[in-house]
Amino acid sequence: MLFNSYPFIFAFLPVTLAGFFWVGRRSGTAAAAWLALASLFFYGWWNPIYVVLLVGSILFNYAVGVAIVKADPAMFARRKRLLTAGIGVDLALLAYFKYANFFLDNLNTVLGSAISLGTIILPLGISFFTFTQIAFLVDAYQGKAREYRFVHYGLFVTYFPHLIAGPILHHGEMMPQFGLPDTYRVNWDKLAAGITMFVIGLFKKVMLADGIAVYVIPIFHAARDGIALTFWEGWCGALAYSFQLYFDFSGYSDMAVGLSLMFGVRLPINFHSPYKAVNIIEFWRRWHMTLSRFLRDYLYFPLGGNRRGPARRYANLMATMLLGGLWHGAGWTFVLWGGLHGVYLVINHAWRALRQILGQDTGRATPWGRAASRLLTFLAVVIAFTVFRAESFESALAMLRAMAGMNSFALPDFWFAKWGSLGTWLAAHGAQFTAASGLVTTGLVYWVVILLAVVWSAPNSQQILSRFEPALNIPLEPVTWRWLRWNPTHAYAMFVAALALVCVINLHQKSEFLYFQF
Amino acid sequence: MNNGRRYVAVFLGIFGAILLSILALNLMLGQRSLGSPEVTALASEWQEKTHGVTYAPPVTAPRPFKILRLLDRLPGINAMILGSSTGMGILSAMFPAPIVPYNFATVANPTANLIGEADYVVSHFGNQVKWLFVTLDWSIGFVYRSEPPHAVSLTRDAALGRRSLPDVPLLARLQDALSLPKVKALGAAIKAVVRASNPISAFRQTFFQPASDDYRCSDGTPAKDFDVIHRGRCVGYRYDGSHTFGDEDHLTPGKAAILARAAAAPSSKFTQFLCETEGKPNPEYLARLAASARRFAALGGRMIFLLPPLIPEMEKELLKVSHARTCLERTKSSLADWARQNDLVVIDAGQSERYGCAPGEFLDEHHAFPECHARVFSKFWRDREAGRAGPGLYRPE
Repeated sequence: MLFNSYPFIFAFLPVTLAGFFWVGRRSGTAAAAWLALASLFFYGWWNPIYVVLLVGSILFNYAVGVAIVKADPAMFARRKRLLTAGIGVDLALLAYFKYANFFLDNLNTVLGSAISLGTIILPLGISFFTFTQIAFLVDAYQGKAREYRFVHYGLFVTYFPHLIAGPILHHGEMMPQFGLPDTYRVNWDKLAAGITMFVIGLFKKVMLADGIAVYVIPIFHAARDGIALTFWEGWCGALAYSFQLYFDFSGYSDMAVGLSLMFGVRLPINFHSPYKAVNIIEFWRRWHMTLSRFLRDYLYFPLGGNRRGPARRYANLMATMLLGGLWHGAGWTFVLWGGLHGVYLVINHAWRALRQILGQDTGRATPWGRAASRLLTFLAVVIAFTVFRAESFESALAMLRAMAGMNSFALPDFWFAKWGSLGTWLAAHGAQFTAASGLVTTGLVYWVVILLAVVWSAPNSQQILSRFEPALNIPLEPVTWRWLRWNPTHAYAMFVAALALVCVINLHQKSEFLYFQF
Repeated sequence: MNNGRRYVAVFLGIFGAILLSILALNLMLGQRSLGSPEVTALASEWQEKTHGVTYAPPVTAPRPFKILRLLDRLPGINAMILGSSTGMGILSAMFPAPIVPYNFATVANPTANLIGEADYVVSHFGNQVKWLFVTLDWSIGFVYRSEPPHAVSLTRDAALGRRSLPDVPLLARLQDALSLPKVKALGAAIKAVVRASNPISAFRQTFFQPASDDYRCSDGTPAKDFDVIHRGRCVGYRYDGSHTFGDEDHLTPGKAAILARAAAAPSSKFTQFLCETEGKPNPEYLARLAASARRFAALGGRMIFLLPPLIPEMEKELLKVSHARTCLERTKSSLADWARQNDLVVIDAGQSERYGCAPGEFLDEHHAFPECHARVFSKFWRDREAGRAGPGLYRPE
């Protein structure tokens, strides 16, 4: 079931919410069970068979986690065996469903063989619920997780706001909330803030992400099909995709945070205006923050982090980002994307280290310096996302070639007519106007300019609702656009209702979330 | 009540009230915006009785209504205009006595269909209709298409044949009522209600009556709206079959200049249509039309063709660009040769400035308002009388 669908908004959500608080008046445990069952129904709406897989994974991990917690701390080897077995089974499941065919394809290419497992349907959200549970097992092993009630553990994994596409939850921030009796009683302030957050997310998805998405596919397909794109077509396609991905995924995350808040539970923040980052280290502190946290805590740190010298640190960064890339999808373009970000991070850390050696204050920057850094970071991210979106290395190269101006700088000819004397002046001064392919339109340029202004200057949803603290782990930052800050006033309620109506009316163009595939 | 509770109440109240209103109003309008044979017959009967302005929904498919109108008008006419939307602005007043035409032009009517219409008129109405004016739309690519000519039937049964509408489940109807196109149509209907001199009466007519009350256009002509959009705006077909273009704006000279320039761009739809077959009209179309014209002439009829007017300077802009010039010149020379060989006249109104048309007499690049058509026909009839409009392409000196 999609958050941006009529069945979800008008049936599933109201029924689940009403049932949760009605049952919650009698028993918190029963309400948690109700919510977990509703979440399984939500998951099964897509394909009921995979509910069995999800439930099996929950039972297995819960059993292993309990066994680790209950094992005598002195029995180090037994605990380690349990952990290894638990993680091994989780990863095997993920490897089968997500990477088996990728592995076989590559093996077949190398060996010239034709081994096949047939079509394997990727269960929705498998990367997310697998990572969530691996974190639980590791924490159980490290003594950070204690024994929890099964119903709470089941709810922690299946909890529908995060089940399909995150945020990747940490049991330490969820279980205490599930244990609070207040969670199961209606909190009107949380409900009001949750509705607002959900509507903001829905607007981002339905109006912004889906609005610009129509321009992305033709450009990337043209590159795939060998059409030599112009400089403008290449950049417009890359920028359009970068905005689509951001508004799609951050919209989903906002909806998840908002939905959870309606149920009285705060989720961790997942996006914090990533395109405002002034370097790539900061970008990863703002983009898909719960994945960054997971990779840091359960991969980068266990590899040694920065504790064994610069060379090992850079190697660990590269390894973490390459695996992070592979987590996003079974394809070499994802690995390359991860690798690119690994290189970016290494350069960023090395640059910092060099500046420190030279005695410069890395914390200080002029406004122009910050603007230039932001632009550079953004361009680096867009270039990497071009690789991320491309269906093959060849397509990625074709896009990058266009963006480097290696094909042509020609402008679409319809602008020549539209621009009047400016068009004539430009043509007289060497600008080329050629037959437009239809890939770049005035509408697309407007979209790019408007969305660029939004991501660079507008506050994000958490900042808009900052008075209420709608999510966990929100970084402290001075709030801009104070007039936009949310208050539970009548005027704001009317404004949000209008936004909700606009979204609902546009839901007939229902589309899936990009991150569902990961 | 605390702030949060009030906020949720206001949100749900407004969201729910507007949503329910949209659902209720759109369900009330129901399928009326899609039209029905009954409404088509009602609209036609009303026009026959009043000689007023109307049309039967949906606005995009006026053919059944026009067939009924043609059949009603047939005893009183001796000429017909066959064409697409580019010919819908031609009025009966533009023709000298004793020519009394009915304008049968309808939206999105390709040349392939016009051939079928011409054949049908010659075969079935050849004793009554003695003049046929047929538009040849090259600017929207109709004459270059490769689809075979259509067979056409202009009978009452063809017009009123009941369409089988599927039984739509309630959930699907609710979803449809909430869809953007339906909400936009509802918005247009509500806008018309709000703008009406008597909004309460307009609301009643729109949502509770199958058609509006009778009203008068600005020139005094009676009008009645059977569709749920364009209410009270005198949008529809006149008694002579021409369209009022009642809700269309006139181009400004500046905008027309930009459009003319943009039309010549290699990627413009006009250039692309023009050069789709390197400017060569479909020879089968021309042969079939010539054959119809010959059969019509044998019955004492005269078929005249029209290249509809384009905004001033647009053709000149096309002629400035080498590839478009080649295609356009080929189209014109092909049509001129064809017309001369078959003793036919083709009025070439492409360069509408030759007839004195102004940018403000157009609603877009290729749709002229009646003012421009009037100039074209006025010059044509004058020159024809003076013997200056013989077989071939006719352009005024």
